[in-house]
Amino acid sequence: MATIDQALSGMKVLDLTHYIAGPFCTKLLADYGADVIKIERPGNGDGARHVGPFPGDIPDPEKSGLFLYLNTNKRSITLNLKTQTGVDILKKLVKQADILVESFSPGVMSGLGLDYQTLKQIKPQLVMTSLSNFGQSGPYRDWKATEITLYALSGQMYKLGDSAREPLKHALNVTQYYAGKIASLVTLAAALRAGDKSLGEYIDTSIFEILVCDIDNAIVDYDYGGGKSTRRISKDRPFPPFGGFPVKDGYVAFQGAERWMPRLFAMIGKPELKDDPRFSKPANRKKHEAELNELLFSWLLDHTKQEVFEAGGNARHPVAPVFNTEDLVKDSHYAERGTFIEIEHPVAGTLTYPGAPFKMSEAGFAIRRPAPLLGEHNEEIYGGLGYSAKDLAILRSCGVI
Amino acid sequence: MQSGFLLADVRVVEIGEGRVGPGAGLLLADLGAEVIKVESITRVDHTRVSTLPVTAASSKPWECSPGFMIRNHGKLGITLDLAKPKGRQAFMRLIKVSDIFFSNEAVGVAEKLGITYEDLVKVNPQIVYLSSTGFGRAGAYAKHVAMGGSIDAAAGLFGLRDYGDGDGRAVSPNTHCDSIAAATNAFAILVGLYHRKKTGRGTFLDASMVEPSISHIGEAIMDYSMNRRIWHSLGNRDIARSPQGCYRCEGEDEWVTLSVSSDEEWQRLTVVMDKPQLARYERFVNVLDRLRNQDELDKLIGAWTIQHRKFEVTHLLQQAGIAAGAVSNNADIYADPHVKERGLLEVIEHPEAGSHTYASRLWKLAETEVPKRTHAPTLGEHNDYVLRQIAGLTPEEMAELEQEKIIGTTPLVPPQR
Repeated sequence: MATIDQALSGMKVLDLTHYIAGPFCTKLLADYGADVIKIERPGNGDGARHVGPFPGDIPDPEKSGLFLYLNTNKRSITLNLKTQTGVDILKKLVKQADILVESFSPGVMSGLGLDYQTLKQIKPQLVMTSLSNFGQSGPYRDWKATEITLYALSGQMYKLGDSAREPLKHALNVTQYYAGKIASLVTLAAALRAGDKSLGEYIDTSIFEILVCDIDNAIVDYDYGGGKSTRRISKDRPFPPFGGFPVKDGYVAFQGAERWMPRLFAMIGKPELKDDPRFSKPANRKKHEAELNELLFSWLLDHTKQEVFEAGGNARHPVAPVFNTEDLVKDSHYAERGTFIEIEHPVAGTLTYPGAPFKMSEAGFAIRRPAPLLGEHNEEIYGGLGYSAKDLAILRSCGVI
Repeated sequence: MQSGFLLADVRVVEIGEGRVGPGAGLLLADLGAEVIKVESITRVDHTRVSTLPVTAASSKPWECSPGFMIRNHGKLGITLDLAKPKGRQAFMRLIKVSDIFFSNEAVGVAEKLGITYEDLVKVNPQIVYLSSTGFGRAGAYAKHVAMGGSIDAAAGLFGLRDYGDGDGRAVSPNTHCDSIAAATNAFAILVGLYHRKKTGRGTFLDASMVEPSISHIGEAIMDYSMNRRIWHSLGNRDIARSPQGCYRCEGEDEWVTLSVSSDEEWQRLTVVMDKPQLARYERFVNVLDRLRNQDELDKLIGAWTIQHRKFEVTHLLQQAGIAAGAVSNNADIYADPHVKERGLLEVIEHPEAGSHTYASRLWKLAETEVPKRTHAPTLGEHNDYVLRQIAGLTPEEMAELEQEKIIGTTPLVPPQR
């Protein structure tokens, strides 16, 4: 395997995470060079191996789209932490690691004798990150959670959707990805300090708190605004336009603003309207809303997504086509930029994946290896600890690996 | 407890507008970096115009906007008109003694002002420079003015969060893509910093908003990749869990969400709802049948939840080991016991806006003191400290800048929303 010099090359991460949030945190480190050792349960491995999507909808733990995407650049070992031998082996691995990330339910790590205070004795400079649903303490600590329930409890969901009906969750599993990203940057900051000053750290972060404290949050809305926020969609505030609007072949999304109304008029080919007293002042606009709606809506319905996008770009008004995944993968701008990449996997074959979230002038994102097979690197990594093939056979028969 | 902040000794210069730039700076400030925010009295950030009610008795409305506050705590603030040569020179003197520069200004602005990576590297060869734009600095879409709400659509997230009927008109505008970009920018900057500590070399980081957002819907891309299947929104439902949804509760616009992830949980739910016989109905036993019959299931569940308050439902279901979460509104979060015990509320005093409660930091550290969140800077609040003590300008140079209105503390033109 070629050695590529990336920004985080040399950083050693032990990865005790599963499903989405934790693995996305460690994927970010791995994709920019870190050596991430993913520790999976013998037998089933990471639960994401069984979620899919699968090629042809045929389940295969080595072909799960979610797993393949979230675990690029990582090596996999199997290890049963419910055995004392397994815990002992983990501690040997900790000695050589810079970082440990875990996303178990709170209490699991300390129940195994692997809490931070214990691991700190083994490796004083260790950076340990715990990413949980609600945090390591507090009344909701042990609550069950899924994407929608976390989003709801955080105060974020209340604002999404039509006020005439139920609030809406956000797309897919985006809050879990977001939490993983926040966890990765705090971990990296701690790793920077650990490298500089040989001081370790324990980071306790959670999906719930990351959402509650987001840069748009319910707390500031309450303190300044009182009461409840309102759910608004495009029909609730037609001008300046904000939200989804139908066009000839789908929808576009606007993010308009009062200061950009002249640009909007230019966009629809009527720049003179910025001086028209009916439409130029918000107070008058309300009286003539029907006329303005007709002007904007009929222009939109007459144009395709790309035509509206082009006109918006030229007029410098924020608007964009509502793309689906096929649009994204086939888009020529994204192709030119290299937004998507092809990765070859020994079992799943060659597939298209999202690529680098950001580019670096040197030593940036690279795929050194695809997502690992379950326990693919047992020999390599345990061999590095001094275990022979015979040792591994015994450990396997005892259910330790 | 150690007192050195995680990013002590790191100096960041930020030219940030709106959410994406300032949001990244906030994360770095919360990690202990010295973040110097460069504004200008000739053109003030639109988020300094408040969209929420402001009750402070201040003659400076641009200092009282919560939308500006919550993204700019913990930073030092200066003003500099970079369009003027003397302003640009002062800026370069600051860059010379800084580690990081980043900006989310539109493509073309850095070139116009002469503050591209090539310009800064002449003055500070080790600078870590991040450019954050909507679609990247080059290519067909580079010209577009991008905001979180438009990136949402261009990155595929908007189309995955309607009510399941494909009606884009019912999708609320949302700025989550701004949060994603801000966090990605902060991560990228730290990767650049790590690289520099290892090699002594700075780097240019080219971040778009659309790519990080696309990376957060990876599983949908993979299904297209594998099966040419295009994903559409399921509304509040899930592809494999049933029932899952958002149900009306007692009161005005009160809701609860719940997710049943196994047959056993479904059985327990029927017991909690005091309708154990439902567990024996053939059309609900099998998860595939529950998915198919979820309309009927939703009606049955809704008939139960409407008789109870949302947190009552939440507690009952959590006790039964089922994922449930009330749809909290502003007042709920303010009073939430978990929010309180985890210390997520923080009071910050601002010289113009007064004392207000804000959300606190997104993480807890066991070994390190967390930097106190100072108030969001007033316009040019730290001109003297930063330009004289850090950048080394003389009192005479400062006087000149003030006289020529290159620096100042009052906007020359009132900011517009």
